[in-house]
Amino acid sequence: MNVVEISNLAKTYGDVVALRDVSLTVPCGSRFGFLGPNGAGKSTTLRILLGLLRASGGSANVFGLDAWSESTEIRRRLAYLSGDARLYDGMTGIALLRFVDRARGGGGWREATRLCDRFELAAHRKIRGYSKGMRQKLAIIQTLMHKPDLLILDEPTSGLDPLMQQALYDELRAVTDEGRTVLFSSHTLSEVEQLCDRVAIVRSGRIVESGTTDSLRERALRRVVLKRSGGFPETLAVPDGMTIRSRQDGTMTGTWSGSVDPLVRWLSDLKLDDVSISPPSLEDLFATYYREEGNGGG
Amino acid sequence: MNLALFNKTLRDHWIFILGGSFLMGLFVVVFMFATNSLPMEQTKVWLDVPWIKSLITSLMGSDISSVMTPSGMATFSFTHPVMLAIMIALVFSIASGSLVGEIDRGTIDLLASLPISRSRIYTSVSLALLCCGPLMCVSLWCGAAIGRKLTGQSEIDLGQLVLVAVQFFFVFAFLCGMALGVSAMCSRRVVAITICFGVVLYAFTVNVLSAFWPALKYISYSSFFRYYAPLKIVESHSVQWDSVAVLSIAGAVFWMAGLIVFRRRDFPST
Repeated sequence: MNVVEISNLAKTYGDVVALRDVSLTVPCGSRFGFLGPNGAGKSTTLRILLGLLRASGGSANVFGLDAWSESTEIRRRLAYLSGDARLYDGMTGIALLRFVDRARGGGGWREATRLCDRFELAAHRKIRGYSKGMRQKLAIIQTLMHKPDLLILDEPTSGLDPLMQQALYDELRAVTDEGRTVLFSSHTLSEVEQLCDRVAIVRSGRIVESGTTDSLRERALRRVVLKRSGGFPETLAVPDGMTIRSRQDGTMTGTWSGSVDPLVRWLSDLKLDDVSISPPSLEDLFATYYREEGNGGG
Repeated sequence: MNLALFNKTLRDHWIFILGGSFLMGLFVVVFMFATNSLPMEQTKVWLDVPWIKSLITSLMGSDISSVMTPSGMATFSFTHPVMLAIMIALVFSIASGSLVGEIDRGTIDLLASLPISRSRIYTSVSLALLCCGPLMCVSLWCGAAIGRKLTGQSEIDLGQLVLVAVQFFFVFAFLCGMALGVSAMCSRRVVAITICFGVVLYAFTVNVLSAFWPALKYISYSSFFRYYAPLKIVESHSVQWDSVAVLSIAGAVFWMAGLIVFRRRDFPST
C-alpha cells in the first residue's frame, strides 16, 4: 500500500516552472529519500503534499486523500518539519510543545518529554536564545511527538551535530519499525544512503531516478584508478562500460558501469602495478545528474 | 475555532492589548482633566473660529456648539485622533502579526502543518482580535467614569457614554474586518500595514476635507469615520444603528474576502 501517490504533478509560478510531470509513490513503512540539489523542486513537492501549495496540474494523494481539498484530514496523520525551521521566538520550548500538543488535540506530551531527554534539549528557555542546532532539535521533537503515520522531513539534520544526527536516524528507524513512513528530503547524499531504503532524485522539477537504494546504487558508476609503470598505450582498447576520464604519468582514471566481470577480465590482461575500484555510490549517480544540469542539461 | 490558537494569539499580543487599553482609558482621564480646566467661555471662543469648528464637527459627526454640555465634551475624548490612533495601531499590529506576520516570519509552515483548517486559523485569530474590542470599550468608559469622579463633573451622563462606547466597538469591528482581510491577502507584513494605514489616511482625509469642501461630501460616504458620530448619540440618546449596519456590513465584506483568499492561497516558502 502506498502512503503517498503523486501523478504528473506540476507547479508553476507565472512563467516559472517549479515542477513538471512529477510522479512517484511512497510505500507504507518505508524510509523514502527525496534527493536533489537546491532549487530542484523538493520543497515544492513536499509543500503540495501538505496543502501549503496548490498544484497547477496532476494529482497528489496522501493516505488516499487529495492533498489540497482534504489537507486538514491528512494533517491529522502526518507531521512536517520544514527545511528552515522557523519557530515562535517569544515562546519557551515547553510553551511551543504545549501549543502544538493542544492544537493537535493532546496526547503527545509524554513522548515530547522523552524526546527532550533523548535530544538533550533545555526546553524551558526562550526560543529566541536558542542556537540553530537547538531550534532544529525542538522542531524535530514537535514533529515526532504525536507519532504520526507519515513524517515529512525537509533536510532535518541541518544544524545538528553528528551525535544528534545519529540520534535522529535511530528515531526514524524506530518510526519505520513501527510500520510508519518517513519521507525525507535532503541534498546530503551520505545520510540518504545511510538511512533510506528507497530514493527518488529530482532535478529541475522532474524526477530523474526512482527506486530502491540498492537498485540505484547498482546503476551508479564505479570509479576506477589504474597505475602501470611505462604508461598505457594510446591504442589501448577498452571494454564497453569503461569511460576513460584522464591519463597522466602512468595513471589512468575512469568510470565503470554494469557488472564487474568484464572489468576484472580486462584488468587481468593489463599487467598493472596498482588498481583501485571504488564501490558505487548514489553520490556518483547524483553527481552525474547534477553535472548535466550544470552543463545546461536541465 | 481552535482554542489553542485563540489562546496563543491573545498570549502573543497581551502586552499590546492591555497596554493599549490602559493608554486609552488614561487618555480619557487626562483629556477630561484638560477640558475641565478650561473655562467654557474659552472653549466657545475657539468653537467660533470657523476652521476649528469645521474640523471638530467632522470628527464628532455633529456641530458641538449645539451640545456644549459636559457629556458632549467628554465624548470628544472618544473620537480624539490620539485615541483613534492607539486603537488603529493595536488592531493593525495584532491582525497583521497573526496572519501575514506568520507568513512573513516563516512560522506559517508550523501553523499550517497542524491539523487546523485554514478557516479555523482565520476564525480563531479573528475571534481573539474581536475579543479585544470589549476590553477597549470598557477601558474607555472606565476612563470617563474615573475622570468624572476625579474632576467632580457629576453632570456627565455615563449612560450616554456607554452608547458611544458601543458605537466605538463597531468602528473597531470594521477595522478588524478590514485589517484581517488585507492581512490574509498579503505575503509581506509591511505591505499589509501600508495598505491598512493607506485606507485610514484616505478615510480621515476625506472626512476632514469634506467639512471644508462641499464637493467631497458624496465621497465622504466612503470614509468609515462618517459612521462614527458620537455627538449624534448624545443628541438622540441612542446608538446610530444605520451607521452600525454600514460598519458591520463593510467589515464583514472585508473579512469574508480575506477568508475566501486565505482558504485558497498558496503559502510559499520564505
